Amino acid sequence: MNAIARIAFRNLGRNRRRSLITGAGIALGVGMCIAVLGIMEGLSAELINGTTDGQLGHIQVHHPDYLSRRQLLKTVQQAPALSEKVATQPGIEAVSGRLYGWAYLSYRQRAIGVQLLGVDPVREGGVTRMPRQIVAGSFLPAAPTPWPAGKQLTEAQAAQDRALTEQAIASAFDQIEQLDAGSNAAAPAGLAAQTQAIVEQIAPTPSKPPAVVLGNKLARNLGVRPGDLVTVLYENAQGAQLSLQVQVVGISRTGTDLLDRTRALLHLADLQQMLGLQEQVHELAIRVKQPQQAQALAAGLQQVLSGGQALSVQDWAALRPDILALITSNRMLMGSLVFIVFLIAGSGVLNTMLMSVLERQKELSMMKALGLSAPGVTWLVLLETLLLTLLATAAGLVLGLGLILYLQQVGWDIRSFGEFSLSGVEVAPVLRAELTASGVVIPLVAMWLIAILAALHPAIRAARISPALGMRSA
Amino acid sequence: MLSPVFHLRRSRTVHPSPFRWKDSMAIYRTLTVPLTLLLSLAVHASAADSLPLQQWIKQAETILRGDTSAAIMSMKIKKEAYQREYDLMVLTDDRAESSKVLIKMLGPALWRGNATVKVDDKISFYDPRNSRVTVMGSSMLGDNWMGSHFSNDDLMRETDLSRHYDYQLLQQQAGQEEGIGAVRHYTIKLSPKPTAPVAWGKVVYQLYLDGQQRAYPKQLDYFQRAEDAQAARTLSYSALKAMDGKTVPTRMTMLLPAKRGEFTEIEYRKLKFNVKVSAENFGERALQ
Repeated sequence: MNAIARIAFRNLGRNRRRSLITGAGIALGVGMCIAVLGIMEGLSAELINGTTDGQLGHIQVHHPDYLSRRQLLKTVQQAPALSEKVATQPGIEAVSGRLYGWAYLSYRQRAIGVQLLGVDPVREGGVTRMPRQIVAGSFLPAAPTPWPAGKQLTEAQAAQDRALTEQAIASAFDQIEQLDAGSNAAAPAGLAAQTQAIVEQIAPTPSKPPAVVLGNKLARNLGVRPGDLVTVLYENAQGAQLSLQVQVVGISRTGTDLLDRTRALLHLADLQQMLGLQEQVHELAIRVKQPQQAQALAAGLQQVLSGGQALSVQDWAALRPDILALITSNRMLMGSLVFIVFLIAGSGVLNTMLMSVLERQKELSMMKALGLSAPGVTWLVLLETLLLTLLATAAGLVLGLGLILYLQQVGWDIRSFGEFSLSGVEVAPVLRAELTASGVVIPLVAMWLIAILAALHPAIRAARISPALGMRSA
Repeated sequence: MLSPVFHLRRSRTVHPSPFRWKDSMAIYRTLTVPLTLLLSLAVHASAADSLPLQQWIKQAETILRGDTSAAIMSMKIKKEAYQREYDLMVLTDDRAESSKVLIKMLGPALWRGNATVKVDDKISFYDPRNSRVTVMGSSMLGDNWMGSHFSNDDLMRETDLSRHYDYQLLQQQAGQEEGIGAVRHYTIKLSPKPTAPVAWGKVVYQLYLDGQQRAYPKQLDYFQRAEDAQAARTLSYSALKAMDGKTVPTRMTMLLPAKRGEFTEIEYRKLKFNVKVSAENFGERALQ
């Protein structure tokens, strides 16, 4: 056995150039595969983190019908108590409530339809990096805008309101009558002031304009900067159209085009007040301590919350199946790439070993004539292959780990290809590799298997050489 | 004035038919109705062809507005989540290709002084509380106006039922209308032309003609798709009264068959035709 190993080793050295070229091919294949798989893992991790840290969180809780129709009234009730309950569950790191609405934002002559998102500025930071996505100005202040509560009208005030309406109708009658005369009847004096007083009681205005953070593209399209006052025109939960002045305090940039173009952030309490949805949210976003456990924790939460209002609890993979599918398809793509690279390396091995067997027909015949058994010849050829592959993959491993180390530390700058996002998740401008056990073991084992498979044919062929014929033909 | 005919550019309610048999009923109906019609119309084919259906619809459509009009009306909204009443003043000007409309809210307090105005394809909204005018694009047309069952498009009359459709007489019969006397009722099916920029798959328009061959609207059923059996919404006209020397329906009721008990009703309190209005009446100063 020892002798065969020594012969095998020496045989590799007989045609050094050929061995070196084959070995280099294998090493390069393995090294590149390890590096590419590392980049792939890095990209997958980036996608998952981008999704969960950007806006989604790991788990979300909604009214069961909210996500399908996004109707204003499909809310999670008693949100503060529910958040407390969720936050005390094991494995949960942070919980943040969110409220959505639609509005028209206008500044000077421009108006743009936007999505209003009410967040708790303090809690949101524990779940996502939303508060850190500010590019100008600041994030929302921690305290909500002081906002007096509205009071119902008294009987007398309601009667006064009706009288004012009649007064306005009478004035409108006059105005219509006077249209033909070409003169505009002036509105009755005091009507506006009295109306203002009543409105201030039913729906008081806040003592200062509520703060709002706009997406960078939205701000650019409106032409506003931090400090500017813009008007929000929105419909509250009772279907009433209302408008309000708000002050831009900051500009955010998420990298997701849709959000940057249409999202306006407000303090959760402010938006609740505006929409008339006190203590209600559309969404609870949850960050867990171990992202891998998100699915199990979501199932657990569903159980815990089953007592009260019917709610749906979903983990990020269920909320964004597109991201999961993207990661899976990326992995499949890389798998086929690795397979092709190894197929090429395998055919190199096959060629090398076949050549070396055919060249040594006389020698192998001699060895057989001297008493080496057919399995012994097979073993000799296989051992040569194994030795070559082992040395080459060792070199490949060093190359691959080196590349990964470089890509981990320095990264691969893809800015020259332009800014891009996958499924709405912005990809970092510098790709960073991530080292995983499977990313190293799979290329190595796959290479060994392919090399042995490729060597089987030459090895068996060598074993079949008839000693007498082989010596004569050479 | 408000248009007697209403469209939605983009409907937000979808009514899935819960049972398969409804679909087959619809197919059955779509097959049989034209068939029986074909048979019954074959005799009067030449007569039916010559009926000025489109002209009647145009007349019925414009009954509540002349070239220009001014009106005071109340609007009553009943929804599951809330109910409320508005008092409104509405000015219209249809003399140009693109109509102008101003709706000013007279009460209650929370909305008094609010105004919506449509000039060309721009809708502006004015709120006296912060003296701001918000100009919105025409994409707002499909949205409901102030939480009612009428869309902005309905009230601003952006789309016209006397264009973009093919007209087919389904039925006609003699009848009576209170305040007019003997009339003749017609039911007309409106199918959008292939390239028409309309939101409805089918509209069934019921109208009637008085002795002087003047057309009055009676009821409109809007169908999401041509083959639907149930209308997505129904607008009916009632309460004929004399207004500014003309007999007109003074009540319009919009119902959604899928949402029982919900409706929006508009009642005219004053209506004046061909008033002298100018661009100034729809300008920013008129809002304030």
